[in-house]
Amino acid sequence: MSTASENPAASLDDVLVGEAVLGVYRQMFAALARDSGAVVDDPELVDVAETLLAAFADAGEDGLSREQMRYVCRRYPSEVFENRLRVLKGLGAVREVFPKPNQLRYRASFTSVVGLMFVRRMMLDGGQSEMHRLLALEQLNVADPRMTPEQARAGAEGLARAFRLWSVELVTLTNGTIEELREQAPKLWGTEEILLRAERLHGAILRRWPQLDRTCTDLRAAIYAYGDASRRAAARLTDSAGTTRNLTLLPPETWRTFARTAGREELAAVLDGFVFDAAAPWHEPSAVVTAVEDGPRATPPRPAPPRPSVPDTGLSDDTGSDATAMERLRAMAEEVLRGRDRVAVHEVLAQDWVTARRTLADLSSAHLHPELPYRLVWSDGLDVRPDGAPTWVTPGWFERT
Amino acid sequence: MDPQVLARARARVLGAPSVAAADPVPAGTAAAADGDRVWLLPVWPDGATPALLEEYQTAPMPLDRAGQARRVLAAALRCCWTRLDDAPWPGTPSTVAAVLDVYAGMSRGDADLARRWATGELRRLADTGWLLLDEGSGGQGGTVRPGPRISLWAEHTLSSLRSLLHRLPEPPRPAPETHAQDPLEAPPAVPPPRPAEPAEPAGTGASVDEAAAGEPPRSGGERAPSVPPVVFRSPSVNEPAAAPAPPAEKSSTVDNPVQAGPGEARPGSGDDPSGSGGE
Amino acid sequence: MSELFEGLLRGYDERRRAELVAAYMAVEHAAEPVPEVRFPALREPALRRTVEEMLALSGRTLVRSEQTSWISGYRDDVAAELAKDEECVPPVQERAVLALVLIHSVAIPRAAGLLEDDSWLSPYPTPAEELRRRTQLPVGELDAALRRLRLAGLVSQVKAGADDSGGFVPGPQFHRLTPAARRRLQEELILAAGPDSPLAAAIRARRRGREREQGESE
Repeated sequence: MSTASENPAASLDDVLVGEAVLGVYRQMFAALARDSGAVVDDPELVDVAETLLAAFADAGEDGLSREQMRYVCRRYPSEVFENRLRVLKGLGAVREVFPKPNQLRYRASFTSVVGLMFVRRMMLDGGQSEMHRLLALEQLNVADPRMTPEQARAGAEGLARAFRLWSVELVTLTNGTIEELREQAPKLWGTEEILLRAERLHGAILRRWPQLDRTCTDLRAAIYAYGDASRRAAARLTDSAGTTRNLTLLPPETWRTFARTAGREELAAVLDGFVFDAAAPWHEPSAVVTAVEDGPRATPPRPAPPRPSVPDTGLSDDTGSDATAMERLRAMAEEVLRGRDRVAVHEVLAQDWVTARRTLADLSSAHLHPELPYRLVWSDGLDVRPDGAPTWVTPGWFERT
Repeated sequence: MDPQVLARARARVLGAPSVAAADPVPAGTAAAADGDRVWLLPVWPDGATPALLEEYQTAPMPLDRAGQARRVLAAALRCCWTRLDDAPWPGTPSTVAAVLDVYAGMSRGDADLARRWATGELRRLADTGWLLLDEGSGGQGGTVRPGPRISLWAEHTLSSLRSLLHRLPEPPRPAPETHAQDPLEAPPAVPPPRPAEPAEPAGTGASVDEAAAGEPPRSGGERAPSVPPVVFRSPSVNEPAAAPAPPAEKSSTVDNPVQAGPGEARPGSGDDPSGSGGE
Repeated sequence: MSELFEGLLRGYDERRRAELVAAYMAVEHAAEPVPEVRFPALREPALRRTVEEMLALSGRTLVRSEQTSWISGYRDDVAAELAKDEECVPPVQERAVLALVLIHSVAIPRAAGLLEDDSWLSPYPTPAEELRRRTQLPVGELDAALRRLRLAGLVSQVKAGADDSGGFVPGPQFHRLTPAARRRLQEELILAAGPDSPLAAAIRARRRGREREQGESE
């Protein structure tokens, strides 16, 4: 539904009211920056668009036919209308839809509404450089003593139109394919917070300008319609949920924040009401026999040594006979042990990683050599030492057997 | 919902939960009697066990260090299955120290290291119903007994295990207090072997290292049912001891025909002469 | 212990009976869903129905995986009933750690589009470091909880590879969730992490509606 330049990778900024709004602003920013000449300088374009968009909002899902659009803009000369329509289509503000075969209709993209509001405000205020919070900004304006009722009305009407257009988009998506709904709806729908702020804004406007009660009633209806459309879209998605598909409907940042800030009880509550099997391995008597007979040392089978453990480095120039190699390993082992019967591997490796890797390779070779009385024994687990080298360590011992 | 269905499901969730012997045992549950408690066990058709999966090239739930677990289990049985002609359940209590000694004797290399590993493994076996472990009682690192799952072993699968156990190192002589009336053990002449102290940790950190014997002893925070809190009284109550085996064996199970009398080959289906049979 | 199953197995010949028993034990104890090609009693619908009945005796049910594999899980009504008993639910520390593994290994990769699979199994490990340093969980409880989760098959450990530090992923027990349980798990995660979102609101609304229906029908 939105234009092709919508940026799906826009990250969530917690300060903003919603991911959808941020994405929209960024997109319009870019578009306006590009086409600032075409758009900002032409108030007539804005007028035609606003007229059309108001009509689109009222038309709902079916959109408008060309004739209807022309009619709505009848006070503009035909040339102006055609021109402006072409620009709007080029900007993606208006697009063609085919609800039935052979039937060409037009619908508005909500992004353009927001963009137009931005443009309008820019033109009115002469240079407001950033609008990064739609509702918050409106809230500020409402509190601004300089704001006139007319400005407030225009703002409220624009806001209502925005909500109505978003609702139309959401309803359309809800009745469309699940895939598109899942992809687009989270950009559009309103969280509780947005709806709350919108309602508060509505209240603020009404309190300050009671004479705007009709406009405010419209705004309120639009907010409710938007909340309703959001919920219906969400309901359709919950109905169709696969096993984990709906997890995509919260952005990664939301998950991460939750993981990092939630307390133990909050996390545990997720698995409230789930039961699982107790651990119940089966030890067949013959398997017990096998384990004893096959266990060469009856010490734990070595888990994979930490990576990288490629016993190839540093030995390549050692092409001597096996006896020489064996002696070399024996000498190295004795040096490492330094008279003790065993030494912890991590002590031996407390050097730069290149040397440590070679040493580890040698220890492994000594362990594997059938005629040498040494053994490298690992225990289970992986310990992390962020400032050590290596940064992980599996506890182990190099020992004389 | 059928309460028996629920009880069987519950037994799987909890492992091998125990109920007081006075309480009715849910029909259709396999149960292993144990003094004043009864352990509820899974019920399998036609004498099948999970070993069946191997015949169909199907892997069971994975278990880390299965070999080690089984070797420690063997060491425990060496100490607790004192009369090999009898069934292994309920067996005889033994000290943890004795089991660790046997295990150290089975292993090459550092005996302390082996004991440390084995201590962790004993706990895992206790957590999964293969042993009954009470680390607080009787000194010598505590007491250990075969766990209720042992009673699920079919008699006809035990012969190779019996002959293996003959070949394992002999358990050390026990201290006098804990085995007063056991005719099998000669009067103790040597002081008990050094207890399995948790020594320095095996590695740089305790991360996820299960061998670290520095683990706190089991207490009520865990799922209690699989580790009895001082549940077994003095051995004379539980073990067959001097009594002739068959009556003791029969009384040790309620419902499970797989639980054979000594030497008998049991048919797989439900004609258990001793059991109540009814549901 | 065939008295329990005798009623169901009695009518079958020896071969079929053996096939039923094998299929039953396989789905109850296997690590992963069992392909029906290997077990005639899972392939043939009539036999499979009997396996389902055998499972139902213990409050269990068949769970289908990828069209042609099967494993068993707790029936939803039985699970709901058992979960009311605190003894039957994993302790708080373990549940908290498990939830974190689900978030890091499944939810986040899913939301980032990295995980295509619609299941709770994942190749993306939750690093131990993340659990230790960047959560609100007391570090002291962490190791014991992970140990028990691993023993129970709820979590598996992935050793460090060339380009990652290894860590933990959901374990084979997650094959055994029924479709309803999977869906509920997904919902619980969304409710917890995004209580504000319309999706959470929709989930809550649906549950309220269902409760009302149940209340009315009782």
